[in-house]
Amino acid sequence: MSSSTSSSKASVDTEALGGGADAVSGKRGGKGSRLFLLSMAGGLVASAAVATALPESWVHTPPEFGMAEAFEDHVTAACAAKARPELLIIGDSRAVAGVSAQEIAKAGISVEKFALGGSGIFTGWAVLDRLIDCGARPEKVVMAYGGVHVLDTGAMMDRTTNYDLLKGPRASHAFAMASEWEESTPRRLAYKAMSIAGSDITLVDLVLLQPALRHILEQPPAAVANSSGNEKERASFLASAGDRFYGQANGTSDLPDEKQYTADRTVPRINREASAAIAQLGRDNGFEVLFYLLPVSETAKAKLLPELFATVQGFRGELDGLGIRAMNDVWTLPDADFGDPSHVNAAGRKKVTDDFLARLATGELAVGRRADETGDAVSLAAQEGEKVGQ
Amino acid sequence: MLFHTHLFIFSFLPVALAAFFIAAKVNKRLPIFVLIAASLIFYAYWMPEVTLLLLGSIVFNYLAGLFLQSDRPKSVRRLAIIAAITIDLGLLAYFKYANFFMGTLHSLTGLGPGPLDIILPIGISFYTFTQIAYLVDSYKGEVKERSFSSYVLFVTFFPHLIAGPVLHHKEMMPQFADPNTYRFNWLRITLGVLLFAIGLWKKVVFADTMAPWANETFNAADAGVIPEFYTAWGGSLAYTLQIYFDFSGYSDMAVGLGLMFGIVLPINFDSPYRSLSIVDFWRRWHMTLSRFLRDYLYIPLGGNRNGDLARYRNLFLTMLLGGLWHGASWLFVVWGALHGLYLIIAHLWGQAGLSLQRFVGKTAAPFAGWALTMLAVIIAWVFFRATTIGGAGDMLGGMAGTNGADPAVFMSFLADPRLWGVGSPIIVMLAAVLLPNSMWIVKQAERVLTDNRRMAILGGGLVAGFATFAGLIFIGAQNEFLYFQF
Repeated sequence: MSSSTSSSKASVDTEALGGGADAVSGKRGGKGSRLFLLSMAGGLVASAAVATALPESWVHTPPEFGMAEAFEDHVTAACAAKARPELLIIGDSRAVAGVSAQEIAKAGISVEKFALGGSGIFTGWAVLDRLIDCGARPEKVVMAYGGVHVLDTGAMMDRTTNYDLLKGPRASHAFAMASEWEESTPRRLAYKAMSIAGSDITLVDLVLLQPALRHILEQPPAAVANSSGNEKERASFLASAGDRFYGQANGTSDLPDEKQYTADRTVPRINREASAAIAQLGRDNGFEVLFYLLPVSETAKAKLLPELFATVQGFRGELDGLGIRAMNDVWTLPDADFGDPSHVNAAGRKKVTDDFLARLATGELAVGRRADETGDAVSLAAQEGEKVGQ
Repeated sequence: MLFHTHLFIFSFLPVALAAFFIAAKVNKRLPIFVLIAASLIFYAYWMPEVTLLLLGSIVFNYLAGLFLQSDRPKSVRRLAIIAAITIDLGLLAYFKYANFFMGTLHSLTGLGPGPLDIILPIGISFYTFTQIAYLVDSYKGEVKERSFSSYVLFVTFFPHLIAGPVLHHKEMMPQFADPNTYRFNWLRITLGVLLFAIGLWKKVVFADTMAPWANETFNAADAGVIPEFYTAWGGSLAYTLQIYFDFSGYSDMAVGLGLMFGIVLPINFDSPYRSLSIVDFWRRWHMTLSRFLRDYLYIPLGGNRNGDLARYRNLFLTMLLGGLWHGASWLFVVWGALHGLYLIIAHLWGQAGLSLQRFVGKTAAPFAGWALTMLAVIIAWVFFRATTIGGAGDMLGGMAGTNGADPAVFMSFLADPRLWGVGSPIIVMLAAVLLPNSMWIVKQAERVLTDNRRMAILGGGLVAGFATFAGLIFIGAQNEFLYFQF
């Protein structure tokens, strides 16, 4: 540029960066290079091993991981007690917020609720399969879901970046079924690999852990906050029998997660297959299976695509054929009953739980035994008091 | 396709490398065609239709080059080169500057439709400049290698295609003709992997973690909010670091990839933020563009041959056009003009026999020189980053303290948990100014590997493995390289 820059060093430097005679000839440096690459690969593998072995409550952000840990505690306890509740509920975050296990227990029904955010129909089946396998024997099982989880692919890898839901001795079987029922080829292959080798060896855990690891590498103090937040959430979610609010606003006019879907959205195959498998578990183990649809806000009903509700309603109609009794249709609550666009607040929960109990009663569920009569330690723990808006 | 994606690192690159070395076993020239195919796939992944423009440009310039290399009369060849360069610059002007000129015309006079909806083909500035240099050298009779396949690879070679380094055919074509290039070479592959890993770290750990700090402040300023003193300086410093690590990280990855394929690309950065003067800065920043502008703009304009006044005019024009090369915006023009002025002042200072030593003493002079240079560079970056002249003015106003200085802002910065992370602004700043640069590291590595110093190799390999893992963990934000837009 100027005369001063005429000595610019921008050129192929033959004495450096692999341009030297040794490098060009390839006669020297081969041994050292192979050792370096081997050592580098060792460093990569060691780092991956350390990352996988890190305590997950330090890595994942609350509240999801704490809730998932409490969920796992609950499953373990139910298995240990070979729980025999009158009612076992599987469901998603809308069931977490809307169908109160504590209120149902107060109504005299022994209940175990296994609902978790992001847990679709497939993961509901997997949890139920695991519970039945370990000796739990419910009298009735309710699948409690919002429309979003009828339409969602139920892809574990999309929604479980904050926790692993499929655990325990039946995890391999669950992944094998997922690989059979999944429509997406890459996911099918990934699930198959996990069914054979597990999620650690296949590096799926590590891949799912990536955003969380990045977060704590960016902000190491967050690890301490994660740990304490997750432990608090774990205790609280367990104590409240899986009841939790996501938002505590007095109403919302925003749209829920279904807004992401287009009119041509159909019910994914995995959801139909998992529903059929749940019904089969019912037939094999002598329990009735019911399906309860959680409400949407009036604004959501007015503004979301009507085709989506028609698809959900259509799926509800198909359940009879599978041997699953649908308890209700698509329904709404006023916007004021929602704490966020997808989940009800305290007022909404009361209405949902009242509606749920009323429909159970008309379904001639044997009401009368209290939870404490079952001797189920898990349910007893649940009655220590509901914590609103944790 | 971006270098810092899982798709590139775990799929494209291994397949391309394997195909390249397998092809080298089969036939001497086959690896060239494998690399061309890989490069076109790499380019077309973004937008297939503009690949035709790239191919058209290559064919046109190659044919024009052959014509210019012929023994036709000089007057004919002179007309031909003017026509060819006009067509090249016309295409560049259409795709890169038509929106800008139509928008300016419309805003000044109300004439015309305003900005047009033209998509900027990625890398057009780089491949146009590269080929203009080829045309000029063809005209001068300095082109020796005429193989079409080598020419296509010279332009399309994917490590440099979309954001440089700006290559010169003289340094590339002989490598394509050299059979050593296609031999499997552990040393070059290892150095390439190391350099790629360093570049990846610079991009995803350093540059991308600086981006939010910079974006927040500049976006607010562009929206009309005058930042207070600490916020303004924090934002401009963050951008200063972001652009360096983003672009030098990209360049390291490009050079590293070249080495993996046995091809040595020119280095592009040499610790520019250690410069003690603005002249020094331009010897270290985007060195291949500086070289191009010097050889194909400054010297043809007359360089320093016609007296001081002409020299300063040429210098200023070169920097102004260098600014405009970065993008169609008055802000880039201001950035180029500022650097032109800085260089003129620096030369006048030198000619007047002035020296910082006289003002601050021998010991403090380097620090004062460094601080002055950085101040000038940071002020210029404000114009480079802002999207409106008003936003740049607000940022500079904030840096000058026109909106006050709130110590609470500084205290909240000190309490920010990101300060303890691997991409901490303090670590990033130290890395830019004090730590050895990637070129130094790779030079040392080459020595250690050829000497087979086992302990150093094992230790270095492990550290590289840990760092690469962290780099891979940081992939995901998918911030594009800043220089993709230029």
